[in-house]
Amino acid sequence: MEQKSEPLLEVKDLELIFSSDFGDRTVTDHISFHVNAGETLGIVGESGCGKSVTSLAIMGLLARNGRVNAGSIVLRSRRKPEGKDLLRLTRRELDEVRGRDISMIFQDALASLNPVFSIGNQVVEAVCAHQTMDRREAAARAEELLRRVGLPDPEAAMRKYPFQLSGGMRQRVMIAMALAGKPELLIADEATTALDVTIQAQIMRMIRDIRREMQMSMLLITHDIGLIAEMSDRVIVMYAGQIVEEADVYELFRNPLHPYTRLLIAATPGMYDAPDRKLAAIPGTVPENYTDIIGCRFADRCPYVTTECVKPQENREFSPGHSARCHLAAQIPAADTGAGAAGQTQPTEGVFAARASHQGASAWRDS
Amino acid sequence: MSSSEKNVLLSVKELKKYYPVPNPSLRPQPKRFVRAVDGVSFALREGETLGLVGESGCGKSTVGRLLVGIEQPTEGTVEYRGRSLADRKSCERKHIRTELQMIFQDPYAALNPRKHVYDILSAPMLYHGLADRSNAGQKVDELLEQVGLPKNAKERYPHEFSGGQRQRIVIAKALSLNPKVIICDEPVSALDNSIQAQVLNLLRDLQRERGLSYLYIAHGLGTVHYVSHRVAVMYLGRIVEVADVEEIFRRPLHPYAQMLISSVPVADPTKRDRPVVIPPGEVPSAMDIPSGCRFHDRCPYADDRCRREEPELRAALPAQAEADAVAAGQRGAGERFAAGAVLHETACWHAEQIEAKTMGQTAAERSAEW
Repeated sequence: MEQKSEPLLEVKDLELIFSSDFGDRTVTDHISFHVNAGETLGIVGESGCGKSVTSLAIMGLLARNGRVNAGSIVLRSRRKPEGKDLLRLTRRELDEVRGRDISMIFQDALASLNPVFSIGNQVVEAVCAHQTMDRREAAARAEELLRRVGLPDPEAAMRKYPFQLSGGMRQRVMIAMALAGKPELLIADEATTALDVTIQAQIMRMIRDIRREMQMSMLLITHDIGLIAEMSDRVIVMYAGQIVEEADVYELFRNPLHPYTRLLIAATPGMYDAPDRKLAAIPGTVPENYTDIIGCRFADRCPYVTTECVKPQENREFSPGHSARCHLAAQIPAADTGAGAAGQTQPTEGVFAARASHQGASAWRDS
Repeated sequence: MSSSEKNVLLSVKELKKYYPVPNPSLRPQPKRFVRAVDGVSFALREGETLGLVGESGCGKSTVGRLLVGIEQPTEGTVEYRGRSLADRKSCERKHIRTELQMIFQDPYAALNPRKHVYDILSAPMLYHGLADRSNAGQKVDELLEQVGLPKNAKERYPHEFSGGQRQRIVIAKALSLNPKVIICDEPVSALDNSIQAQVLNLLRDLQRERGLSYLYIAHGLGTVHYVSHRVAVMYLGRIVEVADVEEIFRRPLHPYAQMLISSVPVADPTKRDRPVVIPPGEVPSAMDIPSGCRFHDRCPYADDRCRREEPELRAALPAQAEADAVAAGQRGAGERFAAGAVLHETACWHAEQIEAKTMGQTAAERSAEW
C-alpha cells in the first residue's frame, strides 16, 4: 500500500512474435499495461486478439515457436519490492516466481490436472513446491485449501482422481493449487468459460472473497463483458493484437470511447434489455493478417471510419486513466454507444407487438 | 386459449427419453437409466420462438433431437400439426422432415468439408424434389442472398469461411427446404460476441420474413431474451417454469429459475452489488434423481411436501401487488392475467409464498434493474 505509485506488475511495449512455416507474425503490438496491488484488471477481447498469449508471456509459458521480441514485464513483489524483469530471469528464478508470486488458472482444468495422480497428491505437491514442510503438515494444508475453495468433503476428495470430479470441482482444485503458494497475482484465463452460469457464479464469488482475504491482485482474461462488469476494477479492451481502450470499469461502461468498445457493448444482449432493442451487429470479421495494417485495425468494420483512419493510431488519454486508440473517440457523442444504451430501460407490455415490429436500423446507423 | 391452440404447430406431450446405463460387471444388476428427458410437455405456435434454457445435462438438447427424429422417445408423443409423428406413414414423415429443420452449435462439424457450398445447399432440395438440376443454381443463389453471403460462396469449401459465415451456411441449409419450424441448438455459443449479434439478427429477420417458428435451445440467457417470445426453464429433465419472456425475467417464480437468472453476469458494473442468490452445490446425476421436487435438495425453501410429491406445471397466481389491486377494484388491474395475455406456469408448490416472503428484497432488486 505504501508504494501506491508503483504497480505490482508492469508490462511495457510487449511485442510477441510467433514464427511458422509462413514466416513470422507479430501477435501483440507493443502492449503496455499495469496491475496495481490489490486490484482486478480485466482484459476483454475476442478470440485471437492476443489476450491469452499476453498472459502466457507473463508466466513464461509461450509455446516453442513464440518469442518476446521487445518489451519488459516488471514484477514488484513483496519479496523483491525493487522489481525484476520476468523476461530476464533464468529458468530457476522463474520457477521461484511461478506459483509463489504469480499463479495462473486455465479454462480446461481437466487438461491441467494429471490424470494418474490423486487430487491430494497434486495439491500436496503444489503446497510443497515453495515451502519446506513434512508430508503430514502439507496434507493438512492441502485439505484446508480444498475446504477454502468450497470442495465438499475435502478429505474424501483428496483420495479421488480428476476424472471422478465434475468440471466445477476440478476448477476448484486448480484454484486451490494456484493459491497454495500464496501468490500476489492470480491470472485467470477464461477460467469459468466452460462452466455453467450457476457454477461460474459460485466460483467467481469464492475468488472474490479469497482475493480480499489474501489481498491478492488478479488479471481476469475473458471474452465475456458481463463477467468483466461484475469482477474487475479496471479494464483493458484488446482488438487484433492491440490495446484499443483502457479505463476504470464504471467509466468504461458509462462512457466507452473506442468504436469497437461501443459496438461490443451494444452487440451484447442482456436479460433486462427493452423488448424492442436491436443488437448492433459489427459487420465483417476480425482481419486475419492484422500485422500488415498500418492504420486503425478496426477501420474496415467501423461505422465512423474516415480517411484519417488509415494513419497509425496512438493510444491517447482522454481523461485521467481513460485512454483509447482512436482519433475520433472524443468527437463521437458520448450518448452514441450504439443501439444498446438507448433501449436499456423500461419494460414494455405487448412484447409480441414490439418484437414483431422491431425496426432494422440501430441508433448509430441513423446518425 | 382457443385462438392460440389453433396456431399450435408442434406439441410435445409427456416426452421421455431414458438411456440405459451399461452394466460394467459380470454379475447381473437391475437395469439403470439416465433419465435425460423425464416428462416434458410444451407447445410451439406459429411464428413464435420458444427459448429452452437450462444448465448442461438438463436434457434441453435431447428434447431438440427428439423433435426432429434424431432420437426416438422412450415415452410420450411429438405431434406436428395435431398428429403424432410416430403414427404417420414413412412417406409422410419424409415430407414433415422438410418442415422441421435443425441448426447445430458447431458449424465446423455440421458441414461436409469435402463438398462445395453449392452441393451442401442443393442436395437436400434435389432429394426432396424442391428443385431440379436446371433451377438449383438459382435457388442456391437466393438462399445465399437471404443469409447475407456473396454469390461466389457456392464455389467454395466450408473451410474457407469463418465461424460466423459457416453458421450462415448452416442456416441456409436449414432454410433450403422451406421449413416451418427450426430447432436451434446453441446456434451462437461457438461464435465471438460481435458475430453472435449478426447471426441473432439474421434469425430474427428470417422469422419475420418467413413466419418461422423457432425452438431456441441455449444456456446464454442474454441471447434467449433477445430472440424468444416465451421461455421454458429446464432442470434435470423437466420444465420447471414457462412464461412470456419479459414475465420470466422480471418475475421468476421457481426457486431454480430465480437462481439461474440471478447467476448470470450483467454487463453493467453499477448493478454488481444487486442481491444475488446462487444455488448451493451442483446438479445431481440424471441417473439418481431426487424424490419429490427434483430441486428440493438444493432449495432453501424446501419442506416435507417438496421431498415427497413432485410438483407439476401449473398456472402461477398473479403477483400479490396485482391481486391486491384487483381486490381493491382498481381500474385496469389484473387485466394482464384476466385476459390470459400473460402466460406463466411454474412447477413449485410454494412459488407464490416464496415470492411474498422475499418480496421486499425482490422489489428492491427490481426497481434497481428496471
